[in-house]
Amino acid sequence: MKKVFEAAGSILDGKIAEAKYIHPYMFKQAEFVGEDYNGNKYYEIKKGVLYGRHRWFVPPDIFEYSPASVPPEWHGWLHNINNDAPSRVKFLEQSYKTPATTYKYLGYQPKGSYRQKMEFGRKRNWKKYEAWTPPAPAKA
Amino acid sequence: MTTAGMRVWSLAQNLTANLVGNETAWLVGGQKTTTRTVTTTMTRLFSSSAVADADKTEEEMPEHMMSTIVNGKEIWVPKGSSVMQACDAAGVDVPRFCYHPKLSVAGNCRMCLVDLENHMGMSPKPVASCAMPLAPGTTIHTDTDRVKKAREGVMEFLLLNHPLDCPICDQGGECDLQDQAMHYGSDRGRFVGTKRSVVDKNLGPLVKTVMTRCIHCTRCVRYATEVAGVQDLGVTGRGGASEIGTYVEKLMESEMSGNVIDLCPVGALTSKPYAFTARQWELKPTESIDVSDALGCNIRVDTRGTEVLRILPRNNEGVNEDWISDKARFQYDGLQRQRLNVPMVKENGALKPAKWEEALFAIKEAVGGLKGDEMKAIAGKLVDCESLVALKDLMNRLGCENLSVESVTAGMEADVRSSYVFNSSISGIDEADCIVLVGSNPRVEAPVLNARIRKANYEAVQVGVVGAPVDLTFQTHHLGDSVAALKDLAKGKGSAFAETFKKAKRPLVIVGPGVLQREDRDVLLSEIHNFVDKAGVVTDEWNGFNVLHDAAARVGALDVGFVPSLGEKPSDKPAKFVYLLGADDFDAKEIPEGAFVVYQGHHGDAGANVADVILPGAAFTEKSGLYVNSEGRVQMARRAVSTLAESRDDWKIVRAVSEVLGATLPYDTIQGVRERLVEIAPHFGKVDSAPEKPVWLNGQYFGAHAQKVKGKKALDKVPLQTPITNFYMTDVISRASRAMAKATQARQAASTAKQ
Repeated sequence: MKKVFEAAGSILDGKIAEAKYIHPYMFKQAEFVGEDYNGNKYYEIKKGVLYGRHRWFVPPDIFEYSPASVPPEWHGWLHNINNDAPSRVKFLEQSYKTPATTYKYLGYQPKGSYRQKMEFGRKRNWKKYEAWTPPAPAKA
Repeated sequence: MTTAGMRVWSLAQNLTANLVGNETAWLVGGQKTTTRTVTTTMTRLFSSSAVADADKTEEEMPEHMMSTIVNGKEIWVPKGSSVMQACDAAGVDVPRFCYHPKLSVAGNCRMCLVDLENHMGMSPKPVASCAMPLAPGTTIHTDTDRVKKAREGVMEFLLLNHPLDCPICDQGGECDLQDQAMHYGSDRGRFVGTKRSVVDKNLGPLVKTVMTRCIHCTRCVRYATEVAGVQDLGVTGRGGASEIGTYVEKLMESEMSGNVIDLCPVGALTSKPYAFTARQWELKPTESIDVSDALGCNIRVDTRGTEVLRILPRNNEGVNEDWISDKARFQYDGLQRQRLNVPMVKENGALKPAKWEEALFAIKEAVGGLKGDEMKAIAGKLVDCESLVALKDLMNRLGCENLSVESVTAGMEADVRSSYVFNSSISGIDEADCIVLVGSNPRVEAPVLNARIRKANYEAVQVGVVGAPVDLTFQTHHLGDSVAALKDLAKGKGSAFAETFKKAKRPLVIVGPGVLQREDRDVLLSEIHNFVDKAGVVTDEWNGFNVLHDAAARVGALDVGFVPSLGEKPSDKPAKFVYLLGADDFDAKEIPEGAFVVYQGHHGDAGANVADVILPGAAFTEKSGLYVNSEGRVQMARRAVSTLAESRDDWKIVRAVSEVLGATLPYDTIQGVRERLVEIAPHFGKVDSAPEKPVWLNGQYFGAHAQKVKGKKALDKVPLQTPITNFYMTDVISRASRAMAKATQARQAASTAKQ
């Protein structure tokens, strides 16, 4: 029963149908290149297909997939930015491991906000003046 | 004090009140009817030159006047007045943007259109009144339908490209465009297109630009060219593409650049430090006096709560006209930093906050047993006359005669007033026909005074400079590096300038702090005086010998006699007790090793660093104090905000110290101190009034002076130059100010970029 639904889903979703059925079976040359940590499978045909349609991926779940699940290194291969797939060459340490900045206090704060850092690294406070602090005593 | 003294003081106050009261009437003037219209800000801005006296209508018209009719009212105005000046004299408001009484007439905003009528009938089209000379037999109408329509039309055009961002604009609430759109504009616009937008220009850290708001009145361009004397601003492009800017991105290199903020009728040029801090209706204005230089510019201190939020100029034709320097305008943020707010006493080598009682008794302990000649008092740059006189009286009661104002008055005599004030008065520059600057760079010592000299130069008055060559924003003749150049000048030969100087009927010599702060001051002054005698600078009608000081407290200190008393000499003994009254620029040699130092002042700086006891005083915005400017005009700085924490008015601190030391001063109210001031020098009773010409006694004075310096020689190899190295940072307030620090950086970056 599941297979029927899957086949129906694939046919309704033309992109998946093309990736899953047309490419592998119409063109026997289709080559399995690799799989990323999200379970996406990547394929390539080197001849006999329009340039631009020669690399594709098949998600693990055809009912819930997202192009955003393609990691940057696979994205580079998929869109012909890189010649080599990450499964064939070793990529450097991922450069995108930065903390998210769009939530909590790290995000943008408008000018005048209490959390906005003022110039000279001074935060806004309720003091109306800064008192002088005497210098440290000279060591005798 | 004495009843006589009291009477003088109250008289003076009445006089001041009357002057202020009459001013309004005098400015409106010229109406035949007895009812006076209420003056608006616009009318008050207007120069008084075109105004006749209201009460003289029954008399015969003087030769220089002419009559005209404005909206049915007959008025008299001087010949050569413009139509707008006639309307102002009649008290009829004419809307305007580009016209400013202190600048040339541009006539490009077209807002001041009026109808004229003569024997030929009505004018064929409305006339721009600011640029139209008033002809005899002309009648002016400002209330016709055509004028109303013309104003609406011009206003609609101006608003085509003006953004509707009043809610986020700093000018909102004090904007000429906003006000006039309400008064004279239409109730709707017909514009449906896209508004023009213009890239903002960077004029430096003080002036903020939002150029899309600009209506191209060119006031700022005319101000920069005509008054400030820098060719930095201009108009590029044509028609709808024209923009105001600096051609290439550069700093506006003027010491008076902040005035373009006041001139700008819209929010295109606003104050950067003040940006988004307050609305004008939240602020409490206080009329006060600037202390950043010795000119005593009239200012308005705008405050909210305990903070000074901005400083604006007040008009005073005798002192600063409509302008103030950037230091006067932007240094106020220094009033909130590095403040002394509690008394401090040194314990085991470290200053610790203490109670007033502890601080005062620490002083008592230190002074106990000392003789008068082992003590010393030095007064600083920003000290008011009340605390100066109180400290002088206290030190004299303790038997001490070692009184000095930092750096300048060591050994300087205060006996003859005409030897240390600006004798010709500041407005005297307008009358002078040849000017010589000796050891002075007024561009940094008093920029507003420099603008006045520039104005004279604009009217073909030649200016010579003795000392290091300086850029004064106008053409000068460099006569030499030392006073030796004056000898040639006295002969009236050798150069074209010398001949001009000889022919001059009202020559002016300005002696700057570059002379007063040198070791060989006495010799130089003696030589300058010889020159003044020979060259006829002083006559019965004209006194052109002027001294320009560089700090607000200098003349006041000499006026109250903050020097050793007559016949006394400062002792040679190293002092064991030093009282620094706001002194921070003293020579390190002046404080002997191991001396007990009391610092009384408002900012932690050099003085507080060496102090054993700190007495927190009040800054000029926090107390009512008298200051005497370079020309000898006594003016009052008024309290705009309250004192901080434990700090107190300076004269009260001195009074408290005197009581603890057992030499109680005989006054305990501010009136009492001022009566004492009047007793010492009667001109202290004439606050805010034009100074009287001091009696010229310098003949006798310098005769004795010449004897004193006989045999001594001037250090000719060192050129005369101003002691001010950085205009933006000269005293404790400006040194603590961030805005001034940024301005300094910007100026340095600009000068390195030039090289």
